[in-house]
Amino acid sequence: MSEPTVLLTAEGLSKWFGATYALRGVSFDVRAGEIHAIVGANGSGKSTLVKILSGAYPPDRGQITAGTDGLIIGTVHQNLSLFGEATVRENICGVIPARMLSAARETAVVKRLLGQLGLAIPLAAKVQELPIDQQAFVAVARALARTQDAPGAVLIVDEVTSVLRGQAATRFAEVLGRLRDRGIGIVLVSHDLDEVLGLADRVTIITDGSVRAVEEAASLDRRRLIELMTGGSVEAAGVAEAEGAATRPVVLSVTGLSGDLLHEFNLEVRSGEVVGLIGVPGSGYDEAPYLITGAGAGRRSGEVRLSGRAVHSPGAFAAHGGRLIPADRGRTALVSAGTVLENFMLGHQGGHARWGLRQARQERQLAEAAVARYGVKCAGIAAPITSLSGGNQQKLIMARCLEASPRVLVVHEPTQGVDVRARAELLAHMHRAVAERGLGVVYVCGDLDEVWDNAHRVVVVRRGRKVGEAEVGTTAKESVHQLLY
Amino acid sequence: MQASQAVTEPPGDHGRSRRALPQVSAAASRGSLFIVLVALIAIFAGIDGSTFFSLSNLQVVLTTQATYGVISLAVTVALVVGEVDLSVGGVMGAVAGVMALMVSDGVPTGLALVLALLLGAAFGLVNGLLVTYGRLSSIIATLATGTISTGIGLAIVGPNTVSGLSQTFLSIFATPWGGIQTAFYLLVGLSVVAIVILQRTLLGRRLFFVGQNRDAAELLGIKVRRLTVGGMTVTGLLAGFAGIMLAGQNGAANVTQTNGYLLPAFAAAFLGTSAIVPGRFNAGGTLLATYVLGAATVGLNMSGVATWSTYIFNGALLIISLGMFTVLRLRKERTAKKQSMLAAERTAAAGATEAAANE
Repeated sequence: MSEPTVLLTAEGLSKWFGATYALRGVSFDVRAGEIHAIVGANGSGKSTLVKILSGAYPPDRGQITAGTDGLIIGTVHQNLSLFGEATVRENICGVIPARMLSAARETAVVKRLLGQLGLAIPLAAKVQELPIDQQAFVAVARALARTQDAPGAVLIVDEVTSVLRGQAATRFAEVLGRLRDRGIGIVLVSHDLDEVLGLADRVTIITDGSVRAVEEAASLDRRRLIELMTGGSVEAAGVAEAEGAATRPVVLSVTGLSGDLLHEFNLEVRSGEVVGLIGVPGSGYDEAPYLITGAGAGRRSGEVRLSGRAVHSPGAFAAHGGRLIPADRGRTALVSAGTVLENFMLGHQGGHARWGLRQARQERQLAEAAVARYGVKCAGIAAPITSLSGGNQQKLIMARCLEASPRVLVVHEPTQGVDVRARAELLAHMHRAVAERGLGVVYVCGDLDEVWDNAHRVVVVRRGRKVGEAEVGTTAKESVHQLLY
Repeated sequence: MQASQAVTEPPGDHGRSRRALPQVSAAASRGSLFIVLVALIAIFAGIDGSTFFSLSNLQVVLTTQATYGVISLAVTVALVVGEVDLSVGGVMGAVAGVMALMVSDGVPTGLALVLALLLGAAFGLVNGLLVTYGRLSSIIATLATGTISTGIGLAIVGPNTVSGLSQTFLSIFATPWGGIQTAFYLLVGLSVVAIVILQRTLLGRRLFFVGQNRDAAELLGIKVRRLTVGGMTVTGLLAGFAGIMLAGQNGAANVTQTNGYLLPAFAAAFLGTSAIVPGRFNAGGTLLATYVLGAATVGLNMSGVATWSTYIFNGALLIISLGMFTVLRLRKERTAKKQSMLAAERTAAAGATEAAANE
């Protein structure tokens, strides 16, 4: 490969959502037989670029041209998008035009394809029964299924490696290397900088919707890459060990908590302390709120203690003074057919009833007082909850949590879909409870600036493991980037 | 000052002029079924004159529809916790047959009643366990258990109608009070209990939350599975009671006679969401809807139209009521949203005024 063939060229791509730019004049190209990584922090526009390249969005400006006629672009998404109940053969053949109908012919075609890709997967196996790396290979094979007779192919691998661990990740990397050697151009999107540096030939760094730099991977190291991504020079990596407010009682202690991604996670929160918890998508940090409360069947192992008492279920968590504000407000925090009053009372488990009968007047007074105190703008407590704006819904949820005088509050992306003004009011209520009542908070959020502004110390999770803590007062924010990626 | 006043005034006026509207539509929504009922009575009275609009006919309708009321209530309880129970028809028939058999075999009436109710509750319990711990869809699970319950009923009772039931048993359900059989009063009593539990207790609100948003309920520590199993067990119990009542009113029972009960029960439960507590499955609405459907059926039969038109009429009534309900609900939601926005604007404007005053 003396002179690289350019398979795909994108020039001057721009995309804006409403009045804000997601991308501004981005150019990008993929050569045959290379792995070209795209990296960028949350909100950099990286995802938008990937969606435009894979054809999910049209660009508002700019164009994409294929280097050869009949170029095939295949994408493997993070969640793989496979049909678990169907066999490997059915998954792969599902996207091939229906000229082949016989199982024998399909089998022959898929065998040839897998042979070309250097993959060995049992064709008759159900996809969901395969180990996760083999599932990823099935997704790769499906993405490349139509490339057999094509003159060139580009494979976009979008955050797939974040679901792969250890051996599986290594095997997947080997397959990508093999595909590159066959002349396929690979676009690798990943939050894992070690992986990017280990696999990629070139790296495009996106910041603020523009290309910050395109570099040969060989000329980069971790430090330089993070500098380029975050736009600042990095302090010496001296993240302080958290000391905490050592004299105050521990209200929440988590030991050895494991879920699908999160592994052996430990955390201690003291009264009157806000602990931030951050990671990149796929690192497992966002499992923590639900593993801590014990919702669903996610908790594999570990122990959660509220003021010393072990809790295993959301019921016990709530009974011992724990409250959760989940990220998915509509789906997991509110009853959309209910009124403001009912959604407020959802937090008061059995507190206001005499002989099982609800005390309607008392409930009304409580709800009205809370609506006034927390500044929830609504047409009255009998209004349907869906008539409130996102910010006001979230204020109501905050109100119902804080009015129960919890000792521990776990919040997950609490400002999502909340406008700036409401955001400040919302968090002011939380911080007041922390300062005055000694509430302990776990603030789980993917945005470093937000976590930094709201927490006393920040715990960083990478690849499912806690990799460090930073004391907000004494550490530079930028040093957290070193832990994050 | 002048300028900010101008900002605050118009939204205030808007708010006032529109405030009357949601109350009107809420009342109309709550009462829509009453209107339908009155209209039906008027229409049939017009067609049929004195026969339909008579005391004796009222007594007949109230008496004959009582079993439909209980089975509709059973369906409503399951729907409140978000499950569709299609087994109620089968359970009702099986329990009716077993009850009749026990009574005709000389089992003491009290004991027979307890055993028959337990049988109904057991079917409901199995449904609940299949849906929660077995993770089956309630539609499929109860379709299966409904058939199974019919099979069990036939195995115990046989295909023939069991008659010759004791007077003690019959007197429980078929004693006329003011020309209406006790069955009707039992239905009203059950409905009142259901209304109080569903509308006025914390338990009722939790059941509603479970039915509306399982995930949110679970995160808040509500015992979702336990409440689902409980709700479905009560549904089975009520279905069994409907069967006992049917045997008691008819003085005879057949395991397979209840096939026709399932659809009217669902029609009443869904139609009931348009009344009393609009937009929600509620026992009061179900009771009212049962009698709307009952009046329509009896009225149509009496006015001599062909049987097929009754089926079409019942279906059309359901569609019309639900359509009416949807329109009213959407309008109510839109008005409330506007009011919330106006409230926010007003606060913002007040803030601006304050800021201006401070300057």
